[in-house]
Amino acid sequence: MESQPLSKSSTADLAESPQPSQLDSIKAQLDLVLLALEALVGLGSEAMLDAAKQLDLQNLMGDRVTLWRLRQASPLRKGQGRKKLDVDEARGLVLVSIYLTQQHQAKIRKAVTLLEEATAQNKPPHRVGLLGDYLDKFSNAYEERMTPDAALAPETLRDLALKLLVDLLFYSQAGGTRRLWLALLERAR
Amino acid sequence: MTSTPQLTPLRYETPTVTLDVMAREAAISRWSEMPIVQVRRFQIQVRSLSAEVPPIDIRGDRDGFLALQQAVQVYLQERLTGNENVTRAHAANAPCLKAEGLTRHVLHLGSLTVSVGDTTTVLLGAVQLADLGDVFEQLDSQVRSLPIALTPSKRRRPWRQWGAIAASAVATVGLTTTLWPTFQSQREAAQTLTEAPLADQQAIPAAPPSPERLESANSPEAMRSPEDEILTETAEATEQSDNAGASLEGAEMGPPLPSEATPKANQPNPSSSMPSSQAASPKPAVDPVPSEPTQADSETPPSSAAAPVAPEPIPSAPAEPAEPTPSTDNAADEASPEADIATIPDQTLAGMAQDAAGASRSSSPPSPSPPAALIGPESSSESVADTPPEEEAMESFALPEASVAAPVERAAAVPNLATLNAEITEQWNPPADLNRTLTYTLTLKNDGTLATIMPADDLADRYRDRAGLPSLGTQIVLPGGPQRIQVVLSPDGFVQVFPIAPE
Repeated sequence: MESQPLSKSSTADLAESPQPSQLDSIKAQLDLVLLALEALVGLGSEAMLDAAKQLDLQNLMGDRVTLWRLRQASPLRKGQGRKKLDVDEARGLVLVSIYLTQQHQAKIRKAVTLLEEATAQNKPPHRVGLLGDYLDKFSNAYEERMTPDAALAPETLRDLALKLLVDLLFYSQAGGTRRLWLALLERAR
Repeated sequence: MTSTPQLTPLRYETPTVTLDVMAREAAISRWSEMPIVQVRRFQIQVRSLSAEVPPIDIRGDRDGFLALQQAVQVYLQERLTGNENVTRAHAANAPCLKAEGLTRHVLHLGSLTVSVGDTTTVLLGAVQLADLGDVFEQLDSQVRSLPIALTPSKRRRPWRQWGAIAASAVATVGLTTTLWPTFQSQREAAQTLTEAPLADQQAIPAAPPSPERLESANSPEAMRSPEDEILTETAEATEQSDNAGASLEGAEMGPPLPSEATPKANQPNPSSSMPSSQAASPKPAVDPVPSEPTQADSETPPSSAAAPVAPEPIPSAPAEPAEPTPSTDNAADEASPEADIATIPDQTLAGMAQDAAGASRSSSPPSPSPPAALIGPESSSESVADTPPEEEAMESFALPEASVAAPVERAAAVPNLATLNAEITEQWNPPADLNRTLTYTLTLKNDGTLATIMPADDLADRYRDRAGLPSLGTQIVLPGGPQRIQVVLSPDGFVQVFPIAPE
């Protein structure tokens, strides 16, 4: 494992609480971060549940159904029965997301390095193997899971995927929990 | 801790960025959980993933370091937030970052210098920028660089340290005040026995001491409410003891109390300054009270001890117990509740004084008479009245003659408990997750060194290494002191140390 251990200050980094009106946006953003991570490293619900177990968050996401309902809380998602996300659940998803980014930091780092090289060479990212796979998986998952109202043009979707990829790199490093939480709060304003 | 004159090198590394800092630790580190350093100069080496590109060294002083650190952190957060296009005002010479696409960032160096050429900008990739942010985060996670908000890490800790010092002082004063009337009454009793054996019998009905003393002790300027309750309990206990042991007290009460006895009246009660729920726990402190029979007093020559007993145990204790007693006590009593520095140590002091006084009772046998300068008008009703007659009888039985023969050493052992309390208090840093008291029984050898530490339960055993207890073999008390000591550590940082009466 190339991961860094989740710092004990992680929970302290999540001290600031969002307003209820911000939670909708936070749900959507968190779901996208996890979607990018899924697309890049291929992790599934089992890895997330395992991460929740490692972080002692089983009370928030102890099984697949609970996790699915949490993911379904995103307003961008298709389907009914959307669960209302509370602050503790949002914090739990942040901790799990950061834990997983740190677990897979090497792959994230490699992908961003490839993106830098491709950019420097004016090479389309989807022509680079790892990036191409990532972009495909992300686009497919997005179109499959998100409501038609949230549909994006392919270029916009690609830019979103690449932006999320670079963000994952920053989240995977020291202070990632605080950075993600502050970014969620700030974006939700 | 004082500021160290030498600079300390700090290094933080990532695959593409290395941060070297020469820092000086600030004296205020003692107030913080993490070392607080003042960065004097720094160097950042930025390496390219491509071996063809030579590394770039960025150097600067403290101001440049702080400016660069802030610029990087702010820029990173703005990138993640999506506000990177916001134009941010910054000082002319301050470093700043600007984005050139998703993975390219231009670092404007400002006043910083680089090792290669006269360039004023450095082009960073996303990985390099992430690593740059990472080294700053690493530094932040290990030290705090000035300037910072100078908030104490735990507000209680400094007070606790001061409290321990003040508690030791007040415990000494309390001990002195406790013992002094005893000596005086012993001397009086001895004189009485020598001169007029029946005088004390006549003094019994004429001496209703306890209510008077307690009334004076309950005077509003002297006590706060919790202690009022405690004193009330003491009054009841004293009255009971008065009934049981009137003949003993009658000889000791002597003349009516002068008004200046009021503040001192607090002192003999430190053992009862514990919460009422703990009224039973001071028993160990009460049990070993020397019986101080008038018989023994009469055997003690009034002028046999030239040195005062109380000051001897603690060299740093005030040598003149009569004068500082009221002033110190008043200082503690008059402390306003809103003043943290006065309030918190005062809470500690109560326990400390109780421990010390309790220990004094347990370990101080009938002592030689104090010198004439120490003999005051007040009597020792509380110090004796707290002890039921049967306990006194046990004490008379329990205390061997050898210990009576070495009263000074026995008394000297008492302040060592106060010192032990202060040391443990200083060391005891209660874990955040601790919600129960930890109790340890320390067994001492005859020479006063620590023989064993017995945790009372599994929880105490688990935290034993963090309890701040002295290591085995440490000299705890002087030879002849208590054989067993109980240490109670509270989750709020409060420490109680008191001797356990021999069974």
